Amino acid sequence: MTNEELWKAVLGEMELTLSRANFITWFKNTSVVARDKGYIVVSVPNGFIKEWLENKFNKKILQSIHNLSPEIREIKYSIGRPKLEFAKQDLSKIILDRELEEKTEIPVDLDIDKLTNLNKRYSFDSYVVGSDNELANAACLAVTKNIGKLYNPLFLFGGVGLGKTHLLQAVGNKVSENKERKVLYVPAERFTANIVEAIRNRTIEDLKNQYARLDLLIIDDIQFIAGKEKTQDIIFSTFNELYGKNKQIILSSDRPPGAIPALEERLRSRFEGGMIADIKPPDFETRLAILKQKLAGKNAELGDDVLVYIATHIQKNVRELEGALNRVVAFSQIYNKVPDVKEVKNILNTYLNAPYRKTSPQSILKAVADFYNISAADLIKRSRKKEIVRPRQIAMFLLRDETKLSFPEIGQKLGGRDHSTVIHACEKIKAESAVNEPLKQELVLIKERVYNSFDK
Amino acid sequence: MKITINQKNLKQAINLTEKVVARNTALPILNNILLKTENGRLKLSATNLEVGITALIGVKIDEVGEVAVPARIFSDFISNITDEKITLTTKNNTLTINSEHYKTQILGFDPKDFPIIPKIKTPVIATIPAKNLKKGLLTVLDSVAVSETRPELAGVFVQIKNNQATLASTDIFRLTETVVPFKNSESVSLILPRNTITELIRISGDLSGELQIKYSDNQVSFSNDDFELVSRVVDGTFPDYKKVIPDKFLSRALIKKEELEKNIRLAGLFSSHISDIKLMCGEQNLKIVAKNSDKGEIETVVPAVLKNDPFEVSLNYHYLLDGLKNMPTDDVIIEFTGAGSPLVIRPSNDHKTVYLIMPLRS
Repeated sequence: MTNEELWKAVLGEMELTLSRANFITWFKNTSVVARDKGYIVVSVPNGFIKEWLENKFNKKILQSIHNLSPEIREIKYSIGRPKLEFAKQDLSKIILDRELEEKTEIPVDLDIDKLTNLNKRYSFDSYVVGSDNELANAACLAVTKNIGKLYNPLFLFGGVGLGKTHLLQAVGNKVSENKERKVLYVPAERFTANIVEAIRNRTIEDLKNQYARLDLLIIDDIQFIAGKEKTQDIIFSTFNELYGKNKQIILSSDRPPGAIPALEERLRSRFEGGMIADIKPPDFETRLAILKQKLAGKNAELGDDVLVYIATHIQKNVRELEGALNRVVAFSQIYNKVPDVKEVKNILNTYLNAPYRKTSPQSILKAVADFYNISAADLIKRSRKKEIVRPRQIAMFLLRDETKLSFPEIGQKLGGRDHSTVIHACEKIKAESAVNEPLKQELVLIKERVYNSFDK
Repeated sequence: MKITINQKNLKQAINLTEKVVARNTALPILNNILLKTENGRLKLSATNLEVGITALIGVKIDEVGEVAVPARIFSDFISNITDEKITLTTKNNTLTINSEHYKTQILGFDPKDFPIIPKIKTPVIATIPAKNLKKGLLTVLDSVAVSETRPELAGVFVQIKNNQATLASTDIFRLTETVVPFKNSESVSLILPRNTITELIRISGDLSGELQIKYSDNQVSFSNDDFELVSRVVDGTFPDYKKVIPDKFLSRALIKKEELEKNIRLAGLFSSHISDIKLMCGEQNLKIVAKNSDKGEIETVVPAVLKNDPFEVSLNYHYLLDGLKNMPTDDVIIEFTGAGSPLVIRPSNDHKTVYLIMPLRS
């Protein structure tokens, strides 16, 4: 019989003889911590309970223990946490952890500089440069060397998880190495929140002055100011102020300035007035390099074939790449072995087999009809009214583009039209969308509707 | 049990013990005060299983015995009668209280069920005048964390060493440290829980003379000849708070405390929902500004003597008042240690007390 079993049996017996409240008060958090010839040591949480058990329950407890294991004649009580006994070898670590925790407690977060909002983790050294982000990286480096004069504003854009924030913060960190310089990194949402707060407290002028004093202003995810007029106002005046004083401004977005909807023209033109650099999804070699770099910081080993496998199969997004790597590393640490490709395949199954979203012709037709506020039946009818013809052509183009149906099939779906009609429509829309900005946006919006309808 | 007792003495002893009694519906015995004759005196005990208090008073004993009586009714009754001499007798767990004008019976409980308050058998490790202890604890009480999410912060860290005790507390927004003279034979550091501190503060106001401190096995006791408080200590490690106290300052200002308090209180009327006010210190004076979009705004000026550069900082005015309240001198020193690092408040003439506030981010 182990100590736990013995104590459980005793508790079971005591529970029967006592009221619930009594039992919980006196026996909660007690345990047997040691057993020797003739006696056991019971750990209790505090002195009150020790006294009570010693003086009131000792006889009963001893009796029930004696029944279970007759060699025990004495019970000693000691105050302490029962669990502490088992974790003794880790005690120093616990204290260390606590101290570490504490250090970050008062300055909120050690990594994040309170004044600049910059996270010190991000640096140019840890940024992997490939052919796809070369331009952005070079532009950023140039800015740190020649702040405010060379490319102002610098506008970075690229998809999700490709490292925009990393680059922005790296610039900020590099520039703020010089303590004289005032740097501020602020995500656009925070910017808006600050403005709202300032409006409430009527300190909007203070806020403006605060921004105007900066040497480097970095605004991340600027697309979020779309449609927020007051924010755009403040950004406009801050922009002019800083630009006029040759202070550096860096912006980032998930699309070029021209494609941000509901952005005032005066801002758009200003954003486009400096240097625009894009970050594309990394190519295979870059992905592999990123994996190797991340792995180096993780204190784990993986075979090259495994890295190649990950790099081949996760293509779109650096963040996902890191996530996949983390998963594999965690696996290898938990099971304490270096996984081979086969195992990695298993581990990453959930990543790779994300449900493939297949668009159906019906959903496209419906989205187009909804968007132009006509009925889906109109698209199929033979009407040649202008307000029907154009949506129909767009529907043809999208069907071709998104579902890869053949031209005759598309014609069939839209009321038995000839394939040459469809070809004409597709070419027309394609050519037009290249030059016609509103049309391009319409297409984006319709596609959004198509895909959103899937999520529901 | 049959005893005769002076009403005033009894009332005082009840006062000392009864506050620790919490309403505990699970274990009704905890709502009681235990009365017991011991070595020619009457002992009153009360506990909530975290803190236990016993008080002894001199009585005339005709017959020894003990009983547990509900604290609330016993205390309410005794404090409202005016007769000087009272006789207490017990029979079958019923307490009969007789005096010149009253005949009362209070239904009690079996004293055998009353928890035993632990005795600490190790020798005394330190002594301190009750008044000093009270003053020290009052100073640090405000910055003890209220929430129990981090138990080690919901208490006062006491370090006794070299005939002085350093008391410190923090709720991570502010921090107080103060040094109290002690007489000690052993160095010890422990964390006293919040409840114990409020009890000690309340009680040491009524006591005169010195308190003796004993400590062993996660329990600490404060006692004199006719009183003892036993409490658990908080299980945990207090953070290394010394690292947080800045050792250098950028600017410092000397200000009249009373005037500063008054003006902060005024400015506080106009603070926003996060209780923020702004201090702007110039060469000649300190300007206090607060704005609230619903109420209005205020600007007030206090003369100040500034050393080094002017500075400005936003902070919670409650925290500021809490800190100033406990400064023992007429003038206080405010030290600015940089944007984003704590503002330090000290008394003008000693280094025994220091108070830190984290500024609000603008």
